[in-house]
Amino acid sequence: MNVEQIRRDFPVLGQSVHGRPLIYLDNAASTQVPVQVLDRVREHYTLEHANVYRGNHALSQRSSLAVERAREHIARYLGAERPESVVFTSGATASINLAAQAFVRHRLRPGDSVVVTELEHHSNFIVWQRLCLETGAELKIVPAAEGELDLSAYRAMLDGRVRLAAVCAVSNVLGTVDPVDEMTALAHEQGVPVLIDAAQGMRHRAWDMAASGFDFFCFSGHKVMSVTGTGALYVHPKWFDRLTPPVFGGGMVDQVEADNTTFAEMPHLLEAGTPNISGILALDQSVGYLERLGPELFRREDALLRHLEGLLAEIPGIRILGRPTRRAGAVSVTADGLDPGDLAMLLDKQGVAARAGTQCVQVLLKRLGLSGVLRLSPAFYNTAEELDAAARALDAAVRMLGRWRQ
Amino acid sequence: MTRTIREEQDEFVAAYNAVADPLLQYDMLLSLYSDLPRLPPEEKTQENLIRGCVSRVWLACGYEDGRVRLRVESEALIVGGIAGVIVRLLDGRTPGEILEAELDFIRRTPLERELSTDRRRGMGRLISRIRDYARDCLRPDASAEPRV
Repeated sequence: MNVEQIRRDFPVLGQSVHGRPLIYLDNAASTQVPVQVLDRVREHYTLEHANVYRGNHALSQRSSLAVERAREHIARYLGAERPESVVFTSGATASINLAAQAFVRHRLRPGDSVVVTELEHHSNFIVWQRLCLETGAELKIVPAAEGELDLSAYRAMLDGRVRLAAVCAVSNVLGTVDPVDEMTALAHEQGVPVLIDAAQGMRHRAWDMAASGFDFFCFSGHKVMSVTGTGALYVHPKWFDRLTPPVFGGGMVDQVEADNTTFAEMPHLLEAGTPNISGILALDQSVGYLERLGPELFRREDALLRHLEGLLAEIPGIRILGRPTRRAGAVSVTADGLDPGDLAMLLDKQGVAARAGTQCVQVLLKRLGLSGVLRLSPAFYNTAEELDAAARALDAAVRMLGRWRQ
Repeated sequence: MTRTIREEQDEFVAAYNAVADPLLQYDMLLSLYSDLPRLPPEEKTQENLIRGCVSRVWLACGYEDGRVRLRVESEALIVGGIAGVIVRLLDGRTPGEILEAELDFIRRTPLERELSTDRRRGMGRLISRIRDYARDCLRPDASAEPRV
């Protein structure tokens, strides 16, 4: 991988912050966007933009074709058998809420349950919590001591009343790589459908929906080098006839009468309204960008994260959270007696972009007795030299704050 | 002669902005905070907690001889430094001075760009709490010490 060339694709990385070179390590929050993706958006609005699907003119047909080609491409990238399985959304949060309202809500009865894990981001936790509260169902939470999911506990939770198991592919805080294929197989043995939240995991391995058998799978564009407000929900074809659209409007109908409406088939059934056309095309382009990087993408990001872990382990006062068997994408730390927000602010002054706070995983952090953590999340366009500099900056921050600690 | 809140604030802004090294700017805040007395455990109550701050900030208020007395403590040191600036500017002032004062040092320094939304909001709530207390001190029936 020619990292120098790749970094030129991301001009935002070349700037200075507070007089220091930017070291962007907040990729678990949002990744940067390459010029190829930006150029595609500009090209769309310059040459082909029109509303899709229902126009009988050249621009509309050009835009419509581009959107459907994007759907086919992303379906192939995911290993989906049918492009109709790919529903464009505004991201993983919207995707999970869509699956909840279109599928799970209508299957939940009092006494039923939904299984989640304590590693889940709020997007894949609160929606199920609220749904269970509203329907009288039970939310079961798989524990993750030391950051590793307790698969025995998970297996024991799977009974005939579980209507869905919702699991993140990778923890956005601890970086834990969950054994989602094994968890899906276990769930299917009990007839339980599975939703995989791959917001963090999308660019850390190759995916194959057909082979894995996931019932639902989602990801966010802004974590795979695309623009914000984009993403997709994969729906296994076996559930197409069991979906109830929760959002109504144009594009998702067949026949509308004064007293009734029949609906379009998948995927348009779940895509009411004018889609985020330029966003979809950006998403298509970013998936193509990752596709061209190939498996070297995964190897490089894995190597960078391991290098970062090694550096962090050597900083006095820094404690790495969790000891998962496999980690991807992010590593979070605390420093005794020091506020993560203070550390992040001092890192920022040294040009390092990292994120401090609850990381939208309050349940896990409360169980760990923490009010916040500092998270660093490299991507393939970072370098080992940048990580070295970030570790030196963190060491300096810890020392500086340590001098003033009460 | 006692300097006005505006004069002291201008002095702080000038001194802070004059520090060339961005890291040393924070060092200045940390130094300011370290000079402030900490709250005794019995004053770190739920009532004294400033809501909306990710890390906990406590504010204890008192009213003596026509002047508002303030003490603050924060789990986060940089936030403590900023809260310390606020307290240093307003501690020992009359309620009228506090209510008339415009605290804009965050806007006039790099802190405006550097503070997260949560922290900025938290400091806003701290200032509002002090103003509310000062307002209570001016109530005609405020013969006893106002409740925080």
